[in-house]
Amino acid sequence: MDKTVTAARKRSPAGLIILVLAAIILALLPLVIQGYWIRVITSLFMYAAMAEALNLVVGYAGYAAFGNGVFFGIGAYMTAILMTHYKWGFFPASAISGLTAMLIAFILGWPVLRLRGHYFAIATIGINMAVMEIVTYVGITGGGKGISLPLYPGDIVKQGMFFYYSMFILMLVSIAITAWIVHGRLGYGLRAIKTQPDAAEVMGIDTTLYKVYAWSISALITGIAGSLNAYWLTFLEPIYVFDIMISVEVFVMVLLGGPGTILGPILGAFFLKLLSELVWSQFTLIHMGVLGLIIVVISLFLPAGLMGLLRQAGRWRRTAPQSLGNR
Amino acid sequence: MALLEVRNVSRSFGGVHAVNDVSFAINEGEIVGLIGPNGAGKTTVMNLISGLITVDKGEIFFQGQPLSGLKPHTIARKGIARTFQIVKPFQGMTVRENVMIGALFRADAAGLKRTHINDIVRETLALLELEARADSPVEELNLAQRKHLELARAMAMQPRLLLLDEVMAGLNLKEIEKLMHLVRRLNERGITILVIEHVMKAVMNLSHRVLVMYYGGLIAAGPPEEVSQDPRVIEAYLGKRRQKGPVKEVQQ
Amino acid sequence: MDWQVIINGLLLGGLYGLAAIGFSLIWGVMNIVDLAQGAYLTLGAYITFWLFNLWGVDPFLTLPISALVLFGLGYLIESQIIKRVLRYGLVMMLVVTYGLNLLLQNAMLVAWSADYRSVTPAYSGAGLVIGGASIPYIRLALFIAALLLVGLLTFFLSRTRMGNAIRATSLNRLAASFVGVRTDFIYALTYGLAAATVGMAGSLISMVYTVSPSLGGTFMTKIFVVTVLGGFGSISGAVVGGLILGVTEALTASYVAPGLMNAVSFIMLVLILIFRPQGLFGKQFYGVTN
Repeated sequence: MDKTVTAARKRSPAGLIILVLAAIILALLPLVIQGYWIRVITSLFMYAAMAEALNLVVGYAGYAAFGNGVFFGIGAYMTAILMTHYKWGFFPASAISGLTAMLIAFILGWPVLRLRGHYFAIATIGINMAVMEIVTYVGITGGGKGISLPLYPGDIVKQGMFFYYSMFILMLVSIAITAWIVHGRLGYGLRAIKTQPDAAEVMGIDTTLYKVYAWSISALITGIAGSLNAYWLTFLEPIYVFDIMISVEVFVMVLLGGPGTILGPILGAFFLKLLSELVWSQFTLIHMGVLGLIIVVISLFLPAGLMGLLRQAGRWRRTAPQSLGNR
Repeated sequence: MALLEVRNVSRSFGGVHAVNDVSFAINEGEIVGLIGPNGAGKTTVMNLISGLITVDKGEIFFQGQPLSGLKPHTIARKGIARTFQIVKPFQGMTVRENVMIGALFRADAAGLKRTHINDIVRETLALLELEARADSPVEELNLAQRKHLELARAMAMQPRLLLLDEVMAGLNLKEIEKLMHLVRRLNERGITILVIEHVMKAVMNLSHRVLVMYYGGLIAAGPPEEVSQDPRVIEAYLGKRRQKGPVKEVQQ
Repeated sequence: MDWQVIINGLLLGGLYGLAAIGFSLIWGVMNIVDLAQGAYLTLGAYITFWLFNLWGVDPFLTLPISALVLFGLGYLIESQIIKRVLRYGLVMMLVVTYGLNLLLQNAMLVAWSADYRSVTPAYSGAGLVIGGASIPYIRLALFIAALLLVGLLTFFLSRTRMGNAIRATSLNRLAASFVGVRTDFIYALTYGLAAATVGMAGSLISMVYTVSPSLGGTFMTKIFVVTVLGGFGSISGAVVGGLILGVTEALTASYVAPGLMNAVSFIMLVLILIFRPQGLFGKQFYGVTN
């Protein structure tokens, strides 16, 4: 995987410029906004990173990891335990949390990723629920009552900045990792596995290993997101961090943005989170129902996601006279 | 030493002997045809060699080394490439990207530079006459082009042995002739080829030797002229064909 | 070994089995993992609750009404939504059925609040005692009702023309359409039938569990385990899977730790998927046992 290979298709410089501009704006945003919006955008970064992580498994490898939120919970609890019981600092605790999530995905991946389709989806849900039950049962996690983490040292503004930039960096890293993977052997291998696993295998791709790699990297990013989130909220309960809804929401972001594209999941996460903040955050009672409705509408009318829509618009613009031939 | 040796290999599926005690060898540089009526076990033999299914009994050797227990990707990296009867292009990729997969995952790929890989892809596309479609999505290819793509992907792996599973099925006469020409050219580049084919004229023309399977067993082997005179073969296979005349097999 | 524990487990397991049949049917025939089954179960439970509390209808007599309402709802959802999303594949189906589940669950929450409600007919206290084990009449009645419904469904699938069409479609949709089966209609019918079955399971469950919008979520996880245990696509598999789960839960709760009851069943789920993805008894199709 050390050798990267440029994609056959050309990347437009305009896209890259927009991307860099967007990153600069987001980096400077805390100069103008504060309090509530800092928190909103921090959580937006977190979801974007998790969506990008899930995208590796769902969008590229084509595996419906419906219980990927388990790594969010594992990362969160690992950090909580290390910081409260063993008095670790946040950074080492976070690193170990991410690596633990990755290791668990690596070990579970060998048997579980041999399952195809529905079986894999149900297995990941099962793993999520099993881990939640175990965490609720054992003593070190505080059980069902939850566990409190030490507070971030410093005033509330500093604290806000710390989590804003940490999540921002996590998101950028998740994009960079995805871009690096997509243009390298792992990315090509995953895309091949997604559509023709047998052909991929006889062309020399170790399909199981590649899927395990993808899932492990996905777990690492998700685990660190969980770790940061735990430190940010300073209180954890199993039913919150292992809620299958987290997985589902991230799943919807990936689908909404466009699975199997580098920026689609980020776009999907921003779109869904902002929409939810602006439109219906005050109506908590129907929040779930509206999400359900959005899901159904996306499935019916936007199956290729926002990126699919953009690409199609681009194609209409570019290929007016010659619709066939080179793309 | 033979390049590939299949020794007393059997495989059954739930009581059906798909391949029953089959033995043969393929020498370096040969084109060997594998023929037989539908359901004779030809594709199963190919799946056994490439490792997609496991051998019940017997052993397969490649360059003198046993292949049993190896995963398909390991076998592929030893130098065995194959095509599929029902083409399996990687959707959502261009023709070039499809071929690139072959170059990216061959045994020596880790040591190759990016430019070298691109060179391999370009050469392979030229060899299989796909340059014009290089940047088209595979979904836009017609059947003949898809068959060329199957070959191109396999060739980009730089195999020692190439297994071709009905690459000519469904093509018209002109396309078949073109493919025959291509297969010969690949052979001239030093690649040993095992070809399953229903298009009799093609397989008899191309092959240095022909193996005939019937109900899971090998019933004849030898030069095409000899095999086509073998009464068992005529009874099992060619008898029916002759009345129908040449050559085109309708696919699905 | 304590008979009481086993009997409790078996009685509950019958309900699990009935609840899982719809899910297994949809998986077997339409190749969909339907995450909306939980919401249909909850709706069935609410139908029984309201009919019993508002008009005093005997809970058992509400079964046909539950079945009818849910059949209609399922038929409608399949023909208006599921049918259009089917071609986008597995991931989309998982998500859209989950979306439907959220939507329905939220609608029930808004309409009927998150309060815990219960259905307690006059006969719910009594029971009989056999050899030291006491069996409440209502649990026994529920078990028998569940088995009768299973029998009815088996009869429908194996002995009627429509049932045969469903089984044919489950084996090969294309081939079924060639011999004149209207597979679009069969899909809607199957989905409606599955919703009706799980709805009736919900009606029965309302008599022993408290009813709230989250009832379906609890049972959805059980449905997964039961289906994986029994192997999807077989009614008898679902029933046996249900009984095994019921007994396993009961044994874990009394001999290991009540807190680990769910953990054990989820671990069982994952292990079976890894080691015997075809279920404990192998793959079977509707009515065709081999």
